Amino acid sequence: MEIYPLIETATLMISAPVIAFLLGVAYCYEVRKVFARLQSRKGPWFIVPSALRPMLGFSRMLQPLYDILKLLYKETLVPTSANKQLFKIAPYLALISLVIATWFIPFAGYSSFGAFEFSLVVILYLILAVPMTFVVGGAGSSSPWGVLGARREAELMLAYEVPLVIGIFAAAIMANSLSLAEIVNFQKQRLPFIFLNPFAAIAVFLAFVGKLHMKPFDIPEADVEIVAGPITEYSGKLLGIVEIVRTILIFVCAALFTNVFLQGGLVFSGSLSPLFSVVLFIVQGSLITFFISLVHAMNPRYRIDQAFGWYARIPLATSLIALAWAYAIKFMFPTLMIGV
Amino acid sequence: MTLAERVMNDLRRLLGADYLGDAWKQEKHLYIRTSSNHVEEVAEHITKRLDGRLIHLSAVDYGWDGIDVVYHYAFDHIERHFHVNVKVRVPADRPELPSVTAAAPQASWSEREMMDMTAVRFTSHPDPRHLWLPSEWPETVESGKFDEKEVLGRTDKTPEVLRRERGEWIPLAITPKAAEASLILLGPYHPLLIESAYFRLKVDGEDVVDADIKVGWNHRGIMKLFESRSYSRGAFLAEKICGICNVCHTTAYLNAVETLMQVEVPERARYIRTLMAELERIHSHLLWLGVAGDLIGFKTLFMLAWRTREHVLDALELISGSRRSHDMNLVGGVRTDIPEEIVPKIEERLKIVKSETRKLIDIVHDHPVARKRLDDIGVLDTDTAKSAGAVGPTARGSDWKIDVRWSDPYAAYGTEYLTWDVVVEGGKDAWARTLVRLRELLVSVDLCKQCLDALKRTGGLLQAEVREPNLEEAIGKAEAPRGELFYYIVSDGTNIPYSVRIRTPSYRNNAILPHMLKGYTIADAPIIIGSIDPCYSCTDRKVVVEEAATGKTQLLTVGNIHRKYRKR
Repeated sequence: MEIYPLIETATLMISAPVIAFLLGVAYCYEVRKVFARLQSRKGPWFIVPSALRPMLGFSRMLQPLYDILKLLYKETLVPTSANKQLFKIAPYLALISLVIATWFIPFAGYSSFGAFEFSLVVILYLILAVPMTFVVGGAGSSSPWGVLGARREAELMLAYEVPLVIGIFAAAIMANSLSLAEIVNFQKQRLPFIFLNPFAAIAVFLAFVGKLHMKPFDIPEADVEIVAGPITEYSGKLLGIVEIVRTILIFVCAALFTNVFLQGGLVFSGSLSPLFSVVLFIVQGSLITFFISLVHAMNPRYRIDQAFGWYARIPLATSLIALAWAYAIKFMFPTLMIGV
Repeated sequence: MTLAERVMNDLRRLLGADYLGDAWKQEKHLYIRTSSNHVEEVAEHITKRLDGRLIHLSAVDYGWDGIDVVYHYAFDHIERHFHVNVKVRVPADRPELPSVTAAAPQASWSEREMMDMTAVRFTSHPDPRHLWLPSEWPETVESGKFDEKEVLGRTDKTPEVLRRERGEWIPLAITPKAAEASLILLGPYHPLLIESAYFRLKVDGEDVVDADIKVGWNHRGIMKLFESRSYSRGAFLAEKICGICNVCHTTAYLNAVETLMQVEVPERARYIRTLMAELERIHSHLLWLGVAGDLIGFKTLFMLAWRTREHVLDALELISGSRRSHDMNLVGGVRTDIPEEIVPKIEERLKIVKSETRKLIDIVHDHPVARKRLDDIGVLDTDTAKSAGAVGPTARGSDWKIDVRWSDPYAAYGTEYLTWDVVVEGGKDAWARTLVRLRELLVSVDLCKQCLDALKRTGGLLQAEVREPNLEEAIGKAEAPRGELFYYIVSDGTNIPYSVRIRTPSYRNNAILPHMLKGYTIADAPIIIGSIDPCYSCTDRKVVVEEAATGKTQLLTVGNIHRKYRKR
């Protein structure tokens, strides 16, 4: 494990969540725009302030950010019958766990603790904390919709976590490492895992659709059925925090996928390579977001039992194939897998 | 022996000395007057033995002479145009009748409505709760003795509280304590529907064990307003009952009025009426398709269906000058002609609508997730549909061929004008109801094309001469996009109707909803409710005093249930 100098690490620790949030805003915008364009609508339409125009143009990319800022200005109401401590602390717990997760995810090779030996395990645990906190907050809100939504959230989590973990570990097994930086390095020397183990990539992608509550699996917050599910009773600043959590979660999922399966943007080496890698990393993330938004736009919503059944069949089977594939490749091409 | 003779013979034998007279009106409408002794037997005989159906119960108040209660039975699903109306006069000082709900479940809502709105009381009704009035409203409104101050100033316990204390009636048999864990309230304000429907669901986890519906959140007193307007102005009032099916409302109203006046509508006006009604059906079904898509989470389908609907609204705007609320129908004809130069424009729109509709049908038909959400959901078998009185696409999805356009042709729907067929599906579930509406879209496009072709060859008058009404009463029906729409108008010979009674299709289908919701999950509840295409502005058109018992009555208001429920 290589250790960065203190100042560099501190800079990365401060900037990583900020960058994650800003890119999350961009990816949120992309989801909304693709969703709208596929329905022959215009989508978010907000003029960027004149000071930022040289940087962003008239792209209206800041709409998700303005939505969140608006919420942060609003008054927060807590239901009298809610379990106040749980209800208030849940969004902050989710935010903290995601902020820590961003420290462990290499951003085009830069990361505070990405080289840590077990960074992959830490990230998987930390992004698991997000639905858990939603469950806690929903159940603590004492609203029937919150309770129902929390229950659905827990059921859905059980369904998608298995293919997610198995799929990512199939890659880790091939790379022979639980460190994300190592996994990226492994791909850099050979091929991205999306080619080495496509089944794992498919399983993880399908799990991310559920994790991000995109269309066939937006069951926990099905608006016509249970209003907004676990976040029904949230308002004002607490809802703003929830929205920030979702925004960062989109980035974390996209970045995790990029690092594990798409080589984390590190393709060329040369004098221009750091800049190029950053751009490639962002583009790769937006590609994943694009495909997730396609799924989002083209599907109605499953019922929770149907979603559970579906996850127990297709993604689980794909992830198990990926596991077998990883072992088979390792067994057949030992030279490819060990050292270079 | 024809059906009409058989019905008459049976009723004569059944009623015996109580058969006080009969009359044939309109084409094949039989009016029988009897006393209140045999009401239940008649209902049982007609609905069970003769396979008739009870459309509605009307009350016509004649002051001190008493109240006429009219049981509207229909056989038009067996023999075209054939209706039987059984009239019973109850005295004003003791307006009581035995309830026929046990024999004919269709009567339940009609009787509850009548108990709320008029003085008639039905003894032995199995569920005598308020339907239209607020739940906390005092027991009954005494006819002529209503003292608003006294009612609003009352501080004693409400009837529902009293009943609960006596253990007589508890909503869905849920005790207040159990309600904390097992009562889910959908509405009156819920993202499920824009309109205010209020469902109480007794749940076990996510499964719906029992369901109950309360309507009456949008009373406007339209039936009372009719009694102060002339017949010609009534058409514009009928237009305002529903925002979606307004042409159907005027057509049904005018069918009754034109029968009263014995006016024959000119051919060209008939085609224009039909064209408007069918265009309206297309836009209503497309609207429904979008809403249904939204109810299963298919936002893209919602947007695409409503984009297609815009073309229909454009066509309607070309014809009448406005997207909604066209005011096209007048007594004896239509307001304005469809000029030749806009006919190609409408045809162009229809072509777009047809191709877009085919695409939408493909999307819905082939989408595995959508199919999974609709299959075997909200099953309504044919027998229940018949006995509970389903109408429109809800009944047609349950393999029951019932369509006013086919059984009781009006405007230009008769076989001499247009050729078409009733769409029936045998699936009995939400998917079958979806298919019925999707196929009806194509049928309607075809009907519109036929009407446009017919407009090219016909000419002449648009409006017949209007006369004074010379019948005492008439029934007008039309097939709204949601089902059979029913108007009953009583005339006293002047230019103002004495009484107008309306029964809308959603009124019937809503009554069946609690039955359909049982046994499915909360996730299915929205699409089951949506699959009947409920329209609450149609359902809640009644007369009511709006100042319900305000802060005085404490226990069972909606807010209190919420507060109680949320206490942990």
